[in-house]
Amino acid sequence: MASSKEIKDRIGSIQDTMKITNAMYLISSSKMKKAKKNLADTEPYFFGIQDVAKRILRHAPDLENIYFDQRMNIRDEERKIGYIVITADKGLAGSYNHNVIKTVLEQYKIRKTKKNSLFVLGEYGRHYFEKKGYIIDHLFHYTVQSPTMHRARVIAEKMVDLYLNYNLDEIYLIFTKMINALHSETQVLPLLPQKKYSFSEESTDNLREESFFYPNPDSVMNSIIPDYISGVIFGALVEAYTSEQNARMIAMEAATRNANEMLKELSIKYNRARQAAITQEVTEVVSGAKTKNRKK
Amino acid sequence: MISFSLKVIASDKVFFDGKCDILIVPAIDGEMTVMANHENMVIALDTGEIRIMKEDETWIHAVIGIGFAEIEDNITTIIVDTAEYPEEIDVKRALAAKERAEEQLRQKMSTQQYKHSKASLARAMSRLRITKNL
Repeated sequence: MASSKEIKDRIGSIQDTMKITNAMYLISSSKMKKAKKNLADTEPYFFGIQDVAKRILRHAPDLENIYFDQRMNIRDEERKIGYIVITADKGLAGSYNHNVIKTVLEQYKIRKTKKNSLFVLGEYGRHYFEKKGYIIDHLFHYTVQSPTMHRARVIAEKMVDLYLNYNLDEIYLIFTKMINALHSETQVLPLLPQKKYSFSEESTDNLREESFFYPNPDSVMNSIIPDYISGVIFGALVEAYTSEQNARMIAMEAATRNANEMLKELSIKYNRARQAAITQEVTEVVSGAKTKNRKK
Repeated sequence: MISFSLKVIASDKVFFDGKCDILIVPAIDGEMTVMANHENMVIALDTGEIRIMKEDETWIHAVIGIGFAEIEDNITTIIVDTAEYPEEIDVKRALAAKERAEEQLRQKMSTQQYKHSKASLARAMSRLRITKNL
């Protein structure tokens, strides 16, 4: 049995760690509240822009637009694919970062091409991929803390530029979407090129005439698509940030609970050890006194 | 007057949701007016002033950023990155942004930077115009 001093040191160290996890829990729960409000404010836009864009694409006349060019002439092995990956700046968020990284690696396996490039948001993911020797864009340096529309616009502009200059043939966005307070899910969202919905996929309730595009379909698409992409990136940043805070909150709550349990067990052990020491001392004193009495 | 439903969604809030009689939006080549029973249409929007006449004939003036408007069966949805009331605009900030953009436009720069400065100048100008500071 460990000595009572050892147990006491152990209790002390657990109490210190618990103070930290508890503080982190409080911090992330207050950040989470802010992020959730932000998310609620952004959700109409995020979903609205996706819905409307989808509806427009479904009713758009056939058009030749660069954003819809699937670049079929480029073979699977030759395609240059860019992934925008959203991770956290720090660890200690349960499986949040690992799920994102796992999804990226799965994507790498599925596609035949070797010409992948990563655009990583968040320090954690950047360090991970750098250490493992993946090609990442080092100039792509943005934080994931408190997302802003401006940052999303800058990112979208850069990605659209890479696409238009044929440096990338496909762009995907990998982020974590919050489903409810206990559940989140990593998503892979294709950004470019956009798919035009064919009429065969269309459900029956959407039968209607083609909309008129002002001034013309091409210029409307040219103004909608970059906007749509920055909107989607912004929405994804907000979703990911909220999921991160949520994951950290849950992880820290579990850590604090575990620490409490350990403290309970250790304090029982400590009391036993102390009791045993006292008992032994008493026995020693008593037996010592006995021998002394006998000698008399 | 016949009214129609209008929803203006900005990236950080739902700016307007309700009935209106007349809607005037800044299209790429000038302003366009939408009234009830308008043809189904998708319009690309530029930075500028948007005017909404509600059913009680009062007008709402606001500044919007780039985006688009979709008119479908008397339901109009406008999706823009920003939408602000004149009262919400920080005149000093807009003035500073205007000066900064003009300063940058005077210097040599890449096409992308040029586009940026042009866009921020347009944003600042429309903000100032609606607050009658230009």
